Amino acid sequence: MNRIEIDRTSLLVDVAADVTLDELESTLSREGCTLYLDGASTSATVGSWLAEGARGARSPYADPADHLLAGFEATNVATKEELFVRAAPRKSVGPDLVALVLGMRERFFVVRRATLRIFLYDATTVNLPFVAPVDADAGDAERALLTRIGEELARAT
Amino acid sequence: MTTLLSRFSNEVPGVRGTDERVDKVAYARDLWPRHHLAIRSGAGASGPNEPGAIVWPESTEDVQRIVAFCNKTGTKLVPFGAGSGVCGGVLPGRDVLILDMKRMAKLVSIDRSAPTLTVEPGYMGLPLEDELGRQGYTLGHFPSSIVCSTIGGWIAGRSAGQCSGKYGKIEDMVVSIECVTGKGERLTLARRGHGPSLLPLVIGSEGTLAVITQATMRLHPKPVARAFAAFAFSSTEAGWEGMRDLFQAGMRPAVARLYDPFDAMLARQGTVKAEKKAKGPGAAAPGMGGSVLRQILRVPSAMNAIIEGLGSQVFGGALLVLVFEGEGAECEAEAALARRRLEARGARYEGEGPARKWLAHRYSVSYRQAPVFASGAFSDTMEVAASWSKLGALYDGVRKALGKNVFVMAHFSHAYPDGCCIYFSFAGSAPPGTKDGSWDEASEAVYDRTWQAALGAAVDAGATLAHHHGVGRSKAPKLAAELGSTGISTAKAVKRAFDPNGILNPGALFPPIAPDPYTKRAGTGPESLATDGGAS
Ligand SMILES: Cc1cc2nc3c(=O)[nH]c(=O)nc-3n(C[C@H](O)[C@H](O)[C@H](O)COP(=O)(O)OP(=O)(O)OC[C@H]3O[C@@H](n4cnc5c(N)ncnc54)[C@H](O)[C@@H]3O)c2cc1C
Repeated sequence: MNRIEIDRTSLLVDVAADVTLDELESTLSREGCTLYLDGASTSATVGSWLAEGARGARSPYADPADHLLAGFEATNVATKEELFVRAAPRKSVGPDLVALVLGMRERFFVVRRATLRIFLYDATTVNLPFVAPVDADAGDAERALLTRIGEELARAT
Repeated sequence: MTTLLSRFSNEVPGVRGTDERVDKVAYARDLWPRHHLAIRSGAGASGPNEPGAIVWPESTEDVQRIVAFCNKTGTKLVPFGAGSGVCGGVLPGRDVLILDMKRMAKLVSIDRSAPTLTVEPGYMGLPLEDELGRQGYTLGHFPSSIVCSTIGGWIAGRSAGQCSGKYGKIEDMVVSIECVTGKGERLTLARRGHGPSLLPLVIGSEGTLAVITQATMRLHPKPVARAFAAFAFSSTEAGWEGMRDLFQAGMRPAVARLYDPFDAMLARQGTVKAEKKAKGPGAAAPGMGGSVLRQILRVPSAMNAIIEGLGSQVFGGALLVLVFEGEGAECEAEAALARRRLEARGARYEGEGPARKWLAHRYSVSYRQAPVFASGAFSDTMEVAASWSKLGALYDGVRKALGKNVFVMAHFSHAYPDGCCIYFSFAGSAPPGTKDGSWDEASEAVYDRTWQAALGAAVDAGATLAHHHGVGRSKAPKLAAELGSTGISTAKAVKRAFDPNGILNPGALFPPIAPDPYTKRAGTGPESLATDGGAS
């Protein structure tokens, strides 16, 4: 599999996590596409960018019919097992495991590949202004839960 | 004799409960069509699935006390919204406590500056939307089951409404939730811009990780204008390519529904019939025609082949119905733009009529199961989703798999820039059961075979097994085929972290527990998990 695979029909790119945003963006632009990032550090790799919460990506909240991360492959940091979450526009198959990688700073999983939404340069884009209340600080119970998830994932075989 | 209810009432005083038989029968199941087969055959109207008792918490503190009781006594607890789930998400047993959330149904607040709504989970869909409408807002969530489902059930099942094209699915609307984990902690989980968020784990967890006790949801201004349009396409594929074009160009019709040629023909005829009868009670709705179905169900393969052979011309082509809604004239402008784009692709404009008719009957469509079951047949629906590049393989693969056993048609009702949901409706039949009071075994065999084949085909096509109905018990046997063994072990690890004693909704979502007959036939047992990883 190539390090960068563009699915133009679905406007998705399947990319290895060690590809930098810069490299990805220039490959995409040759195809008339873009990640449509705003102010993200372009020297970051896709993997570290996702681990840090994908700064600069268009908030899916701005366009409720869209999203950023359609699927991924990742390695459990404790057990080294490979997790494959297939790309789909939306799902209803239990807890969304994207929550274990996006913004989690590789606490539970290290992303190996990601399937990301891309945009055509010429597309009309919808931009609904809405800012979600952000509760940046996890409370005690949430922190305890995060710890337990880590412990359980360490013995998840 | 001590009953579950008496023990409960001693330890958790002040919480209402019942163990009257009539209530236990009512709470023994959701609307999984496989249950209907059991009921039709008369095999114990609810039998072993009657819960021990039903309790009605009125506050988050009540929920915490109930969860503490369950942890202490090892009692299993099944959260219950309105029981409209269609995948066997609710299927208790004699020592199980049902936690009916409908007495937690307060509209806590509306924050007009955001705007957001904070609401308790037991609020029923339609009254909630009516109340929001009176205040000038909409949630934008309109599942066909809006009259018989709750906001807690929507969030727990990752529900999708008819206007997902503009407002997204329920997970796109949640700002934060308050919940009580299986361990008993009270948590608020919020959507976060760039930080970690555990919210997506609880959304869609089908009552297996936590009890949702409150939700803060994004609101939109109540639309004051709508624009309607309908288009005929020479083929279903041409139709979905048209939908893809609109969504990838950034257009967001609230409603975009594409019917394959046969479904389109029924919808066109059905809406006319419905209009004629609409004045009287029990007016028919568009969709499957019961009498037509009864004639054809005995020979599904032949009927599917004939309809395929007749092709698009005979039925008038695939039909795309669009509804744009918003705050003013931009709706008309969007409809005009959609028309230009679609006509440029060869679509034939059919006017506003079909879209207006669809809106007028938007909740009637799905309530035709009873006559189908009463006539000795069965029907069900399956909603799968994939990226656009895989949609053709998904459509062909699942239709072929279903078509061997049942009569099948499809529509496409939730589109996104990167893919689409296909909603298959199918109906089948089998010779009546032979044993008195036994399950209708032949029907069950056909039903199970049909589901297993169709889910396998969906996985093979690279699709997800469920777009908005959840997993429950009906799809659990194939979940490992989608998630792989690491996906299952990861989900189970999350389950243990939230619910270390496994008290919450055992048997749903996570294999292996399932009703015995289904387990034996469909391979839901632990052994199927071990052997089913990766492929099907
Ligand atoms: C005619 C018909 C049409 C339908 N149309 C649609 C549709 O258009 N779109 C769609 O998405 N679905 C549809 N459905 C399916 C169903 O309505 C949805 O799955 C709905 O979300 C279920 O809500 P409920 O309140 O009835 O939940 P229930 O069926 O009572 O429960 C569903 C699951 O959620 C859990 N649960 C419920 N409340 C809570 C809570 N507070 N905390 C934690 N877990 C909880 C339960 O344990 C169960 O696992 C339809 C069903 C029918 C019968």
